[in-house]
Amino acid sequence: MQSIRLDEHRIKEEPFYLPTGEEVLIAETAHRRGLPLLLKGPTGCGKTRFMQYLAWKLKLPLVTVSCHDDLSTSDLVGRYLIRSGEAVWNDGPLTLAVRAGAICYLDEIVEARKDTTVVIHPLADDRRELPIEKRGELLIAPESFMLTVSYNPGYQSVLKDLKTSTRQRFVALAFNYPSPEQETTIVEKESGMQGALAQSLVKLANMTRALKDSGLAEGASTRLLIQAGKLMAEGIAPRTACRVAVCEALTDDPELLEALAEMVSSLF
Amino acid sequence: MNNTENTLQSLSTRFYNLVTPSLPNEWDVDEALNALDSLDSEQIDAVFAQVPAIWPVSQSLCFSYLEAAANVLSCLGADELPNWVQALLDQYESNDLRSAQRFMANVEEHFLCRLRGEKGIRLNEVTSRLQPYANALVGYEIPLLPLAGDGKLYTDTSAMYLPEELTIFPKEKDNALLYKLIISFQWGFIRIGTFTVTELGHTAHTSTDEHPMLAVFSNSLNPALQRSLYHFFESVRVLTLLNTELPGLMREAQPLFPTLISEVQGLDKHPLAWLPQGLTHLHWQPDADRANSAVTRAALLWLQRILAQPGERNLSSAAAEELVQLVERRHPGCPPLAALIFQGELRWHEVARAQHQRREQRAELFISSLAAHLVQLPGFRGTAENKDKDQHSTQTGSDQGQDTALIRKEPGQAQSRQDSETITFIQLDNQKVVLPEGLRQLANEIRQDLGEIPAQYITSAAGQAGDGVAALLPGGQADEGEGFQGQLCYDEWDFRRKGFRRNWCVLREKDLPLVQTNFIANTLEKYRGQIRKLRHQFELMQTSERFVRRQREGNDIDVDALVESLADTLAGRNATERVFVRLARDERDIAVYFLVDMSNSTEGWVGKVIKETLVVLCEALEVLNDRYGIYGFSGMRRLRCELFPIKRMQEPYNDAVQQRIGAIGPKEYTRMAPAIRHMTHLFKEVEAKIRLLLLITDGKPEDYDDYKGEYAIEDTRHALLEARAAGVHPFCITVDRQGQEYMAHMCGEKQYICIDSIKRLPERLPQIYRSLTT
Repeated sequence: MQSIRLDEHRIKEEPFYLPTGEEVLIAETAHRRGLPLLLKGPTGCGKTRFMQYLAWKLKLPLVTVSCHDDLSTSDLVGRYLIRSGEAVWNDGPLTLAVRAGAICYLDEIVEARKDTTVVIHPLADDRRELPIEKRGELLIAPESFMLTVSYNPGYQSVLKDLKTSTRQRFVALAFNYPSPEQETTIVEKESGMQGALAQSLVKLANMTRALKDSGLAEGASTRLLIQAGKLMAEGIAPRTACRVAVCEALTDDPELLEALAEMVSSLF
Repeated sequence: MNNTENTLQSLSTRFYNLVTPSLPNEWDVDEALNALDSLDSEQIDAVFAQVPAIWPVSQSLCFSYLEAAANVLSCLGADELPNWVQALLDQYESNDLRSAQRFMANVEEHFLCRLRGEKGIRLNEVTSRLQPYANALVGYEIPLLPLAGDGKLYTDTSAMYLPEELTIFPKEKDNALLYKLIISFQWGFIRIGTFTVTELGHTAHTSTDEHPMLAVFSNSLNPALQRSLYHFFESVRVLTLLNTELPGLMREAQPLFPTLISEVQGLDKHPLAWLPQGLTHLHWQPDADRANSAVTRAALLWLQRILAQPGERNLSSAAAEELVQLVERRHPGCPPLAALIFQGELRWHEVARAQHQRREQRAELFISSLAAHLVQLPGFRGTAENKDKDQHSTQTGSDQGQDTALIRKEPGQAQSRQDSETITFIQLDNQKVVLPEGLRQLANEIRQDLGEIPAQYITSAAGQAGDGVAALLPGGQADEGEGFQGQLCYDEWDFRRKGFRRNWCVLREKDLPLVQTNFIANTLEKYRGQIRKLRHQFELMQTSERFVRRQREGNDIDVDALVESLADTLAGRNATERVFVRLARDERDIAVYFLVDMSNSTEGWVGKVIKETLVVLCEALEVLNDRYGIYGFSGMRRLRCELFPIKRMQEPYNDAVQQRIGAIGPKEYTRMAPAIRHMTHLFKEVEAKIRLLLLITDGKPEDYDDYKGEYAIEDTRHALLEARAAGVHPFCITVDRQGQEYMAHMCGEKQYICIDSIKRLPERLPQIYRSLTT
């Protein structure tokens, strides 16, 4: 039954990913040598997509856990459930990935409570083991298992910074928005829209990123651009698409919205 | 009306009542009120209703208003009068009495048209949305400032100077669009590099504010014409840029162009008038009689080349130079070419000055930041006091007296001067000083501008740092008995430059002496009843983490419930599914720092009440598990900001803490921001769901040096914003009666409270704490 569940996590078709540096080589090498990986970068810049691509390339299932502040150790490792009067152990996603030698990807790890993240410590150093206390079991990770975590250093503030003891176990890859040319290619490819509009979308994104100190928490992500592009490719007017998919998604502040609208009306 | 005299009498009485206690000249009043003769009593009421608004602003304006009122009310309904007066006062306050009088004289043009949306638009009406637009275009903050005097609009690359008001089009919307076009166009000059002259050699080194392009023009046969032609050809390049980069804007602006061209003065006679006329469409049609002249043919050829290679920036100056020579042959002394409004003008002196100013600012910032960084380094004792050699870690004591400053680049690329190489450290007295991130960026900006970091920057930083160390050496002026704890540097926000002064303030934690007094005992006795009540109230707030049993899902199995459930199943009853326990984490996970003003203005009973409040608060807080710390702050000048720990976060509330509370006394000044930044820094060590910083102060931030007024408030405001960004909730409590004026701006709405009576502080503070944390 579990193998079926794990098969759902296999990525069958090659996801589109445009490398911006040596990240693929580094990640593959880290995998080969059993090193855990930390991806950091702003929201929507391609961290998750990179993981999908890596999983596809390594032909491994990808078990993704989106962390939140109520995530407990049992949610990761597993718990007993009652089935027809009997207590049955049920593996959590982390245990599942370790057993199967898959890639476990903890997305936005800083959102999880710090006592929860400690559970990955023995997995993330040379021991590569996962103690399951409730069962008295010690799982040794197979060679193909890989632990990756991601976080966004930008917006969570120090309140949710990563513990030093956690972060100093990882090979860290910093992600950022791609260069304008690359970003244009990505937007075209993902949204299926035409060249000139994609270029203007990337220009808009770069303008919003320059506003980071003038009140925007973060500039428009590549993901937002793709969404706007998809709307445009379906025939929504460019200015409308930008308003609903970029401007309104970035801020609620009326003055900033007006400023963003000025940028949109200049570019499109 | 048969008894005008009487009516005037009653009006005058009403008027004097309105303006009391001033007693204006009776003759002036009568004359002004006479003008109201034709109005009915309802209108007079409306006119008089505005007098209290105008009189305190200006008495002469008020008399002019009364004289004009009848005329105004012939155009306006009485209900529109308040709005009109508002506009009148705006006019008076932003200009002068005369412009306000002009405003009154023409109600139709100045007010009614605007009500119908037909009007010009003022710069300050559009800045809220066009300022971020401009910043985003340029990529750095570029203020949009009103143009002083009658000159043409321009940018000096640090700011844009725009007309205060645009009235070219009847519709407000079109004028706003013109502002946007102007801003985008001026950005175009910056973007295409009109002002940067690199091919003329390393002229950036010169310290004069002469722009190198001016030398090019001054050699010309007709400098004014050549400048205007250069401006024109650069504008062609800007327009091609705008057409590709901002197609939406250019499409919208299309209908404006005919009017803009017709606005240009003195075009008809000029032999090259067809050039600006074709600019907006990038399509030129020379006058038929000149179509075959050498000038026309040359101009068309140049335009063709520029349009084909808009990125080639040498073409414009070559084109301008050649055309001037051709024109001078046929029309010697030809006047310069007129420009369209959005082209503005290229002010070379201002550009050079702005570049120079930026360079100086960078130098100043670099020197002061580096100095502050050096002061902070362990083992640095300043090159000025090199006598105590043992502090120098290296064995090269021989090169003292001459500061050897070298700039090192990343090894391996020593030869190339490419942008990619970054300065990461500097060499000072054979010591390698690694630059922190901010300084590194600055150093690289300077290098990009000047090609290298001038050695005197580093020597003066070392000198400053030496002075700073001397001033900071412990023992010297430090108070007896106050321990010395090590120091930290904090940035200070300078609102004028909208940037930080890096490592500007040096802050130290100093221990307060333990003082044995009966102050604590007296306070406990005095507030006995209140403390008991507070403890009871605070106990109710206490919750702790607990297991919730019998849940449908949870972290673990609830064995009791499971046994019951199995028993039920065996007995054939309906078994419950609620067999899990869940850990409920709704506990109070709160950490709070109290930051107390210890400036000398707290001397006397203000300070005493603050101390009493702290005792009451600690007594009450002891029943809660909230972690809390108390710090006092004071100091003098930026290099001696002091923080007095009264109770550290981990420290229990004990006799020592009580004695330190007893030792709180007035010290020096109120430089609040470094203390706030330090508390934010301390909070980084604290893990809690809610992190609260309670600031208790008695007045505005102020220090002995220039740290006062707007600067101090803006810096404090920024420090509070930084705290908020770091996940700390700051809240300010002030006993300053004038607090309302600035607290909302400094701390943010609802983030502060002004307590009018200091006596109520011991009662109010625990209340505030309670409402903030529940």
